[in-house]
Amino acid sequence: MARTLTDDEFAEFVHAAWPGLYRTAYLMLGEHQLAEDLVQTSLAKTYASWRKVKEPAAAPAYARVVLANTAASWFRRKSWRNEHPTEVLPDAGTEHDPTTRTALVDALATLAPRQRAVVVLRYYDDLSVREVAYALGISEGTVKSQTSDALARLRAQLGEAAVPHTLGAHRD
Amino acid sequence: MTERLALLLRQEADTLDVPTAPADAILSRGRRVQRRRRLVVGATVTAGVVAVAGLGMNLPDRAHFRPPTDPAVASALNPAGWAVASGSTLSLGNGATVTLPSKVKSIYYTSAGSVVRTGKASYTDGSDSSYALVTDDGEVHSLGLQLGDRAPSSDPTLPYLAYAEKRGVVGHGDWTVVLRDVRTGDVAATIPIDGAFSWGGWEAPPVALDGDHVYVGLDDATLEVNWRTGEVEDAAHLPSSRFPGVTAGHEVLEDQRGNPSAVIDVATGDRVVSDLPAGPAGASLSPDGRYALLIPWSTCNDDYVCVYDDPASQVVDLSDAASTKLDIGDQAGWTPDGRVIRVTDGAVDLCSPATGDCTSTGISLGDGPVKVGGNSYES
Repeated sequence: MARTLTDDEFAEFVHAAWPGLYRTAYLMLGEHQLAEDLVQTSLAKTYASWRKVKEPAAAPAYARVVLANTAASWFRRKSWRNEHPTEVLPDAGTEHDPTTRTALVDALATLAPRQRAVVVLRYYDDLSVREVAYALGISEGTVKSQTSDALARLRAQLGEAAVPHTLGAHRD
Repeated sequence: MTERLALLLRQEADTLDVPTAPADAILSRGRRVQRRRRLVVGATVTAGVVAVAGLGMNLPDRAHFRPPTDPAVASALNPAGWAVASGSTLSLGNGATVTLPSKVKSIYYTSAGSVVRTGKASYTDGSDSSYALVTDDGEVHSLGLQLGDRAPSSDPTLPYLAYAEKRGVVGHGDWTVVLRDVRTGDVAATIPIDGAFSWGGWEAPPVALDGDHVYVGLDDATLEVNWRTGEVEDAAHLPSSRFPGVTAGHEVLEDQRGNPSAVIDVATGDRVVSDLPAGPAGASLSPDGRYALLIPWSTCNDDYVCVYDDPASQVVDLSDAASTKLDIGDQAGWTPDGRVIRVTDGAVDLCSPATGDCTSTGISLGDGPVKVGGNSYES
């Protein structure tokens, strides 16, 4: 497949996949420039690995895995850990309107990078625990525990209505 | 009940002002990454861009240069020092079998044994790699290394693993080339280098250890670092922004279409072999620098296990450009002394690059992604 891929065909794929990947990347990272960098990097890697894509229809999913994997490698950098995560929960008494995007973005920003990625992949991209584990290169158990912790943090920020407690209870 | 959270995320995503996709820039970057990955299988270089990135020699930075206190002398290549892996099982050329804690991602030949890079997944993109030395007696010695997504290198005549690491503030082009003695796990030498690195996706520029030199692929030059003296030069005959694959003083060139076309002597720039047969995805140099194996295109499955589309290949003798036909099965690699390792349906053969004759080793690999020594699996 890769050997017959033309530049026009790949450009067409890029234009089709870009918006969805960009949205995922932004939700993961919270910064437009970083999101753009991540999607560009991921699509470049996808191009280079095109022969691994068995069917054209599988290409978007493959690119999404590459994106998640690339993000995971970014998260593991010491500099990223120093500069980006917000491990400390904001004041629990702060009131937010859970229907506003600012509240959601603020709440996501309280999560450690990998937790945030897990939440986005599971609840925005609707990937299974196994798929998230594969995409991020972590165990399914880690996905579950990270999900549970992340939901507890989001619940504290967004309220029970946005993140019902039963979400965390299932942990799967 | 995930609906509410999922809805909030979708609403947030829907409000985003999505920029236009920079398709041309992505395509350009993709080509660079692809070129880098072809170098993985063929140690190739674009002939059309064999432009010197600026000749010059930098005096070693004595403040950061740490010469080896007891520099190793190059050893003879060990004919039995080869290895193949399936999943977490490593089979050595002397008949020993070793079970490792996790899947083998890559095998690096050294004079002290095979260094294996292992992790949860068999592919190397992830950052979960651990490194261990497997000696000829089957003993496993952890190196205590967490290199993340980097591309280290070894030389089968030396007991070192070479890699680059960030020095100073992130965002500046300050790096340190590190030689780690795999016999002890200790750092044997450090050499500071400077230069931007943005063309590849690794955490540090990829390197190639070849004898007294470590080649480092930066944006504007491939550096030639003498780890014994600390001298750093631009490699005069190698282009920049590439994965260095220098082996026994040789490097493979690509033509402008990315196909392997020639082999050069890195020191002189002279073409050792011109006009490699057209068609393969890459060319792989034998660790002893005597042969080039043409690597066919391959197709990979969901586990990143790749099998050659057409096993019919050729080995080119670099002394006279004579080629020998060789069926290289599903996957192939090299022994340290320059014989081809061939894996077909799990059966491991050794083949003479001079005659193409193959003999069975009696090794039958089990389940799991196969990794063959003498290859680089950096991706």
